[in-house]
Amino acid sequence: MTLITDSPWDERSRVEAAQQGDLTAFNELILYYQNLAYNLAYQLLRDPASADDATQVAFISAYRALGQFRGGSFRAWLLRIVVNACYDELRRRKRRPTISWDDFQDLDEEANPHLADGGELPEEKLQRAELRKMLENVLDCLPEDQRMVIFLVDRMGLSYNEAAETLRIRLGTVKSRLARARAKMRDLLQEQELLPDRYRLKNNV
Amino acid sequence: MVRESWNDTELSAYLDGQLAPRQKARLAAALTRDAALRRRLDELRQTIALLQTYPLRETPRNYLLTPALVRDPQRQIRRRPTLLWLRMATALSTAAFVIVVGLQLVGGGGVGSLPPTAQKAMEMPEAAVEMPTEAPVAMEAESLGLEEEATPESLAVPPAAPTEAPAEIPIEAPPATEEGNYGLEKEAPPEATAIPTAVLAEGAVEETDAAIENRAGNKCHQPTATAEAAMGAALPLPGITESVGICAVGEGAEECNGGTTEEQPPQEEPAAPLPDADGEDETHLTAEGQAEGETPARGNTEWQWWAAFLLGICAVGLGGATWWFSRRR
Repeated sequence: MTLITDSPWDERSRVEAAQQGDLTAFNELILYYQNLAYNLAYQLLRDPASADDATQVAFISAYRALGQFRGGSFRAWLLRIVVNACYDELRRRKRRPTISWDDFQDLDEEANPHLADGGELPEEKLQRAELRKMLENVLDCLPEDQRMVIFLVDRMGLSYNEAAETLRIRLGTVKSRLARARAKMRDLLQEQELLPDRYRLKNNV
Repeated sequence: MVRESWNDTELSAYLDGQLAPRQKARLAAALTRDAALRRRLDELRQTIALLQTYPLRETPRNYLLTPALVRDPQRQIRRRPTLLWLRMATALSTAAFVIVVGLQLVGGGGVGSLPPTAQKAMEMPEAAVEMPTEAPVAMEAESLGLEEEATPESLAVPPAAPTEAPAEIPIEAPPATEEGNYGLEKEAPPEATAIPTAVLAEGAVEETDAAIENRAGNKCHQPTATAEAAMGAALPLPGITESVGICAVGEGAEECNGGTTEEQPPQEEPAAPLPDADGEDETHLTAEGQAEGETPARGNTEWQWWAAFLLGICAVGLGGATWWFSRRR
């Protein structure tokens, strides 16, 4: 369920080393969480370029604020900084409206072949892109608060407590938002006739 | 059999293992009995499974931090106060420089900022206007002082001196109108010139007459000369009035004779250029005048220019330092 690989990983020692000023240790943490952070930023901003900027700003802010980390879930603490950076970006965008980079090109692997997985077959790649497009459309129908909770818990594999800490909401709020989001997603997916067969919900129970 | 109602929140929490053990057992029992409830739960499970397959976007790049990227903002924060102070100091010194220079060029139109010659030119008309109405007694001391220093060869008096003669004459000569004419009227009659001799001894009168004759023979008319002197022209004639004035003070006929005899050399050449000795004396007096009235103002002006110069150097230096610091950033 988790995105992160299960390779031997001593997060606490790296965090402690980074707190002592070890930039290499912090860069290892960045490599471990950068995909998570970028996708969370993209869910909030819906713009690859803005998500890119927000992610970079968040990692710099996290390095400077490492002294304030008092233990607990480093992932939740780091993602909280990403969320803050995204909100700052949203405020800045509101002050100075810009045209989304998506209007011209996409920064993902379809538009940047060098970023694509070389071992993936073209059909699989196409199917994956199609699925992502569908799910993004469905997720876009959700309110932002529900979308963030369902993305963090169901896609990123955060626990309820981590999601509550990341979004700074109560645990009960996480539960209720997640339940409403899942139900709405279910309803929307059942209405999606264009969803590939293998991904359609089957009422065969 | 009582049908229990389970909402989506409980089903969702059941899937995530977030239900309390007792509630979880009750829901598990209900699921075994209720097919519709099982179907609802499966739909939720498939939704979650589909979301877990949701392809994430690849990051467009790595976000690895470099020492420069991390250290640069800290250096900026450290330099910020320095730059701020430098900019403030530059602005203040520039403003002070502009104010000082502006005051000197605009507000410094006073006497202190003018060159000495201009100051003298400004003072001259005032002296010429004030002298006739000035108290004679007050002027007497100055004329005496000049007389003491003046030698027969150096009787030249600064341009302001001729105005002293009319002021001095009223003291000794009762006919005030004639004395006034002596100083003011250019076409004064010859009798007016003889007024001072009325108080002199007879020998002195004779000498004076002879001197007048000599003057007439030399075509150097005393009335004209005195009138010119009264008008402030730089002529040796003021020397005559000085000597006459001294005679009028009543120091004796011999002195008066001496005075009249001393008058002649300057009168013989009224329009001639001043002798060297006179020139030196005049220069000396002019230097004294400057030393008394102009030196403080001149020193003040010099000080202001020096302050402006130093402020300008400060402004340029601080501006350069600010530019250098900004560029280093």
